[in-house]
Amino acid sequence: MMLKRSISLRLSAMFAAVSLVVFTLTGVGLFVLMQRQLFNELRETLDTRARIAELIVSHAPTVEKWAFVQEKLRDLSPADSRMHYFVESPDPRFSFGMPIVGTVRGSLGQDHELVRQPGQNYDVILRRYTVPAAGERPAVTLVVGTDCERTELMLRRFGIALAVLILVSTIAVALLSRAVTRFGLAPLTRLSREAAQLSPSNRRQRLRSDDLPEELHDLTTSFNGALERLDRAYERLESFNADVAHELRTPVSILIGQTQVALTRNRSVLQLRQTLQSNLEEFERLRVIVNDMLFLSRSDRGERASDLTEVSLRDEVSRMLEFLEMPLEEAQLGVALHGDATASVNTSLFGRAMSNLFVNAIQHSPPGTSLQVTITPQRGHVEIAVSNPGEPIDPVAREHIFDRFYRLQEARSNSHENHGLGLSIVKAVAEMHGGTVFVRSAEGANTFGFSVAVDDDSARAQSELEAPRGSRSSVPLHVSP
Amino acid sequence: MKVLVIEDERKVVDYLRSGLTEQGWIVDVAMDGEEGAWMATEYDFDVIVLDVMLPKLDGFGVLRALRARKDTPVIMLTARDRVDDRVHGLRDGADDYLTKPFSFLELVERLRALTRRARAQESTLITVGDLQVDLISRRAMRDGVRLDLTAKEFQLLSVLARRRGEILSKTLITELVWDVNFESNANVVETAIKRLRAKLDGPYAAKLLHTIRGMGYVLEVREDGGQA
Repeated sequence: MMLKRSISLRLSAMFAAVSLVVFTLTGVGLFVLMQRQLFNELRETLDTRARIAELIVSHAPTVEKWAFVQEKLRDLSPADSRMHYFVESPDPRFSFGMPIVGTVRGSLGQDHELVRQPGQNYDVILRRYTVPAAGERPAVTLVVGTDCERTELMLRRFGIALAVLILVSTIAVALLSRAVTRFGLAPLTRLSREAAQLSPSNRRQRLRSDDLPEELHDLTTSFNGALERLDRAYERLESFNADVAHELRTPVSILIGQTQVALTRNRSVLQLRQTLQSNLEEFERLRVIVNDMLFLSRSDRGERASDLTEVSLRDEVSRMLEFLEMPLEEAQLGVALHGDATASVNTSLFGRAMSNLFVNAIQHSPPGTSLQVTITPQRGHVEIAVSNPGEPIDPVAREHIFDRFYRLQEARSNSHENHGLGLSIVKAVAEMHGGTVFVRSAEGANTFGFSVAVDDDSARAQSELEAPRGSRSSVPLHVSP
Repeated sequence: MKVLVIEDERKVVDYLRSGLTEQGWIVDVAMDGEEGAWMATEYDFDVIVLDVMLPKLDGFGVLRALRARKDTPVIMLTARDRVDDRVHGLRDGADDYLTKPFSFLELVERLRALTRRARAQESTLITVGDLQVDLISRRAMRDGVRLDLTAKEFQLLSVLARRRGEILSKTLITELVWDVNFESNANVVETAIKRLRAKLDGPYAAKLLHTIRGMGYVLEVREDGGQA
């Protein structure tokens, strides 16, 4: 658990593990090298001594001379010496020493064999020489041996020393790397201290990224980016809350005021009825605001449109034009409809968005002009736009025009009918269909529109089939394969 | 027609009881889920109005208890405008739902639809005072003079005439005349009513098409002959 939480602990543990492996490999290598070297040395000493002994033995053809051999060999192997000599002979007069008896544990090179004597914890290296017969001496076998007790002891000590060294250095690496990683991670500690101080009360604060190492720089930059986006969302929410309160305040104060006035005197039934009716109108207004806000909060939660049906958007727009026929006539506005595309939409939501776009256009178009509606299939989505002639909209206003309760100055006068959520509902509908909204001002016309996502294949097929634009009668044919 | 209202909000219960009683319904009330479930299963009602948020047993629980034994039509009232609420309710056997805040007129409309209560005699020739609306030849005459109406104006008039004497909300008119089922802030109904009124009532002293402020419109003969 602890290892998971602390990077420096984790790093030093990993460093320690790595050094343990490296040190162990080095140690084993050293040990093997040492072992081979020591045994070679032993073998060489053995061979030198054996050659001398062989020379001595081969120069003793008589029994008299053999006594001299025995003396010589005894001199060659003093009590503390590791060397053993033994002459095996069919003639007992020509023998020397005690045979070395034990189990053969292996061989060292071609000529040497390793023998373990019973009751000993070390091996003996043996080499046999056959000395041919000479004079009265028969052919004898000279066995020269050297025991490895000292070498093996040395190797054992060396091994233990190595193991201890490895262990100590691993611990040292672990401790040192802990200190080093702590030092290396100091910017991170600073960063987390800074991040701990972030709070809604000092929303402007950001993490300092200038003197940070490269790896943390990217993290800090993206973290600051996230803070920036959160900050903006928070700001929007704050102003949205204020706008909601403001928007509700008007009808509520009307309700309170006129009800109080009605109750202060004895009123006729007609007067009371009028008050109630006026109240009802305000309540209706509240209801519409509440319902629209609930609708917007649904799209805020990322809810996607359901009950999708594959329809011709041109047909749906035409349906809305039929619905809005009378308001359009009253405003003396013509409408030209261009293009077509099929898309899967919730027809009720789509109609609502279209209706809001039209209402917006109707409110801002001079009488006698004409609205242009274009349906443009594009890669992955379809754009539906309504343009109306009018003064270009200020770029700053354009940025906020789809925000909730945002109203252009001219529209504020009729705020009673228009609570300023129309275009933000268009935006919500677009988002519920995986699309976006846009507004453009060019050549004396303002264009408001939104897009809905479509399956890419069907969109491409549609754009190939798209009829030449510009005439109202150009309904594309739907060719089925 | 008997209706059971299962709702714990005292004010809602009060206005539903008096409003529905005035509309000719026999109203029974349960103030919590357990009582509601018991009444709904023990007695026979033509339709049940069921709130989702209830003490002791919530609306879905009541619905499940009821559906285990009966098929009484149920209209759910939900404060949360969430799709899962609707799916939840409709899958468990609710027949319709209304999202709070809802309009009383709309509730009455839904209750009627659920019980298929017969409306005022459905005939092809409707008479309101000196107005005659012929639904088959799609002609309207007032005092023997044919009214020159557009297709939509006639449709609007026939919707009002079929339900003469009933207050029709703008939402309902939008749905019945244009088949548009969302609330629009375009003044479509107002404009259409204004045009129809000019042709229908304009030249005549006795007005038939009345505006009920804040509620909607009604087509009827009034004693005073004037407008509300």
